[in-house]
Amino acid sequence: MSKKGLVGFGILFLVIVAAITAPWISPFDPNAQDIINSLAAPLAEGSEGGIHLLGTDRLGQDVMSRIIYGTRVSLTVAFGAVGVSALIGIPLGLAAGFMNRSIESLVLVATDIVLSIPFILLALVLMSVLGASLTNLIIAFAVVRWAQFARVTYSLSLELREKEYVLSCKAAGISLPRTLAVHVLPNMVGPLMVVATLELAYAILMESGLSFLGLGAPPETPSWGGMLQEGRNELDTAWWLTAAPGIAIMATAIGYNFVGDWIRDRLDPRLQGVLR
Amino acid sequence: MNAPVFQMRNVSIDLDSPKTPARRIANGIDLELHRGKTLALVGESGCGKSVTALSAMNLLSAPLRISEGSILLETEAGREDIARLNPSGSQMRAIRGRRIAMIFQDPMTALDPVYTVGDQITESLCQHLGLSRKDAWKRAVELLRLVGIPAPEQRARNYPFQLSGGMRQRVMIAIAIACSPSVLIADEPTTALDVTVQAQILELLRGLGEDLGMATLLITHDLGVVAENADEVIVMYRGYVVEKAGVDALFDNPAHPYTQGLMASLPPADGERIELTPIPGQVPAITEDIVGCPFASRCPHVMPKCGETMPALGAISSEQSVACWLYPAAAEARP
Amino acid sequence: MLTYLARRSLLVIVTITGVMTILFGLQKLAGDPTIFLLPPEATETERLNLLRQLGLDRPLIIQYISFLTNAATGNIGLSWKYNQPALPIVLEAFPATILLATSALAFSILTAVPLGILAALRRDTWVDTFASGIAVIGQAMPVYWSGLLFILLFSTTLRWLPSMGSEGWLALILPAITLGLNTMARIMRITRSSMLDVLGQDYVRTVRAKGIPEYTILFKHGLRNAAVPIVALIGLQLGGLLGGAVLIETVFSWPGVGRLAVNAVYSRDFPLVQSVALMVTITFSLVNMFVDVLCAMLNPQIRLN
Repeated sequence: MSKKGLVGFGILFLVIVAAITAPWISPFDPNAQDIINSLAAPLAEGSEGGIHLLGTDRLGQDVMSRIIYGTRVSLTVAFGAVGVSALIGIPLGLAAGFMNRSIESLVLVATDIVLSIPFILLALVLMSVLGASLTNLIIAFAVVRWAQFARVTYSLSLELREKEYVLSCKAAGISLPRTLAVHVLPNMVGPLMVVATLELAYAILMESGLSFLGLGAPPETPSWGGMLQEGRNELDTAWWLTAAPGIAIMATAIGYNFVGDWIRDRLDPRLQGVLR
Repeated sequence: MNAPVFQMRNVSIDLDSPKTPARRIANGIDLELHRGKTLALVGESGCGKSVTALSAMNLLSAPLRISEGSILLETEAGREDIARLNPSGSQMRAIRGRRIAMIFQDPMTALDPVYTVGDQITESLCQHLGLSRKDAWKRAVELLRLVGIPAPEQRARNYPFQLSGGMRQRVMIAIAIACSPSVLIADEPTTALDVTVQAQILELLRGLGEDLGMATLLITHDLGVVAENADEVIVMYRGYVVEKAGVDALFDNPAHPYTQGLMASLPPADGERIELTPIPGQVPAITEDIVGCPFASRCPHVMPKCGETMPALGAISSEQSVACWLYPAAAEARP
Repeated sequence: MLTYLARRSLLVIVTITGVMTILFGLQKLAGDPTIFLLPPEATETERLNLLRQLGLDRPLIIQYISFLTNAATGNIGLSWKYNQPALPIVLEAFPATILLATSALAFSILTAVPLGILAALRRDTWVDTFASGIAVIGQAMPVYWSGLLFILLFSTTLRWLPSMGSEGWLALILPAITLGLNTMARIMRITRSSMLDVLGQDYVRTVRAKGIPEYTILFKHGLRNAAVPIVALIGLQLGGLLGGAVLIETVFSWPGVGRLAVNAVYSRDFPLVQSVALMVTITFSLVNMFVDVLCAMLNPQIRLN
């Protein structure tokens, strides 16, 4: 495996392990307040023992523990949002590629419309209408980003539908759903995985962006975006509140991107063109 | 015969690799080109023909490089060893396209898609001959006419995608001969074309070579092309020149077992139906280490000596030499 | 070419109508606006009066049609917060956002294209590693976070540049660079990969065999052929820039439509949010159309057919 792929998978492995084992590996309860130790610098000692490796926030909550618990929000939102987007987008992309012309243009116009509104703006409106919650964050993402999956699936369909093995299925009278499931989808897995990793990175960046605007995860859930928003008010005095969650977000996004690059480098070059 | 305009003397080409020692792609190639004559370089794919062609223009780029030997070009200013010149330097640039020109295999990809063919011909005219754009354009149209393109005024304004493969190869030829070079290197110029077009392009090349007094190096894997277009032939096998002969001598009496094998796999010109015999096996990969003659593994006449040392080219007649232990009088171990 | 232009314009109109429909749907989803508009002690009669006044008592389809026709004449309704037409408020803040977005775009193109070319030319050297390092980081940094870091470094610590407001050119530097960082990373990646792709093409070898100088090969043949994917990506990036402006304007207190939209969302001022979304979408669609046409012009095969 390339160095990049190794680093990418390494980061994701760490994030997943942290999310699963959060209760055991966190040095503190992420919501335990320790007002005496408000805004303690990294490596400060807690009033009831233990070391605040990454310091504390205004309420004296341990930043390290909140970062560890934050992996849960990060993973839930990212995989939830991208999973739902893929479940909507891929079938629509296939329909556009393999069914009649009117369905094709309908899906294409719909993707054009959805992708022409800057995502954060639409998500902003959606979140304000639906209310801030993790589920709504996932919904807001899927409402827009299905279009990305639909677009790539459609481009891949154009490439694959002229292939002999697909044409011969039609000639042999094999049903369309069966052809798609057996001969088309397996050939799309690689490129769609690349799209998925890019979308995962995009999702955590957007999740943190919306949390930053106060429209993401509810305040009591430890989330990286929410932590950044709190940190902003203490920028002059407590830099660690801004640095720690920012690095966590960036590292995770790099992890997804590297895994995506690794998959892409192993793909058939002709299918790579579709991902441009 | 008068002095050659272009000579490769003992040229070797290496493929550098960061991990393993350099691989030798071509070993001590010697060849000479004469005005108005065509030398054909023949061999299966992977034998080092194209690399040799690129080295003749000093166009090799990393990890390939000329590791040994000299490449001598006669100019009015005297004889110059272009293997010594910096491949991306201005002296080398002044030779490329001006003294030595090249035609590539696939005309579909060898022309820049975003410029008109006229623009692509004028480019070297302006660069080397210092013509104004207007004069260069006029000259480009003449060149298109010379290579047999109908309605050249209109065609000059066409983009490559508007032309057929044969037309594009004619454009490539026009680009190559634009500055009247003394040496023309044609790397499989007809391989990518339809059979009917192939003959026309080869005829054009041969005619132009004679009319303009160019020395032509024709690289091909097709012995039929060789028979009709070459004056002299060099047969290459996996980086070695194994036989060198006048075209008639070669076809009358192929000396090297590899040449004989190539001939046996060629359908006879008179259309008589005989059984064609392919050469068994394939060219060893460049990653394989070989001691002795690289053809030994496929040779019907293999001897113990073949696995030990590779013989040098030795003359078996006034116009034919061969590198094979079957000819003990001529053969001699390579230095 | 003309039919292409006509079809492309039609697509813009369809897109904008589609966006309008989504916005209308969201407005309905947001529920009864009178709850936010009237004081809690308001009577049912006052509420019904307001509904009638806003035209919200009519059937949905009539509301939809009048929403579309009004919007076509530039009337998107009154901002509930400012109690004046929403569109002029947006138009007033729009130049600030355009200034920010174009500065960010200029910054990213001017840094990314040369760096991308250099990375392609010096492939696998430290320049390439440096460039791809910047690309990796630039793509993975949350935009507002880099903004916060810049403020921390250049405003709070070094005191070189202002961290907020829009007074003078100095105030533009930090927000523009912050906003452009992500776009820069993407443009650089595509510049590098398309340059590598083009420089490996047979036709570049042909030009080299003609004895043409390297800089001519690089710019006249290399960059010209690599331009289409780069230009296409730049067009698409504008959407990301306008979206990123929402966050950046909040971080740097930049008085553009992004901040306006965020504040409008907080105060549930729906017509104002709609106007921002609409203006941004129209701008993005028109720019994209322009870029698509430009790409078509750059490719002779499309231009001549």
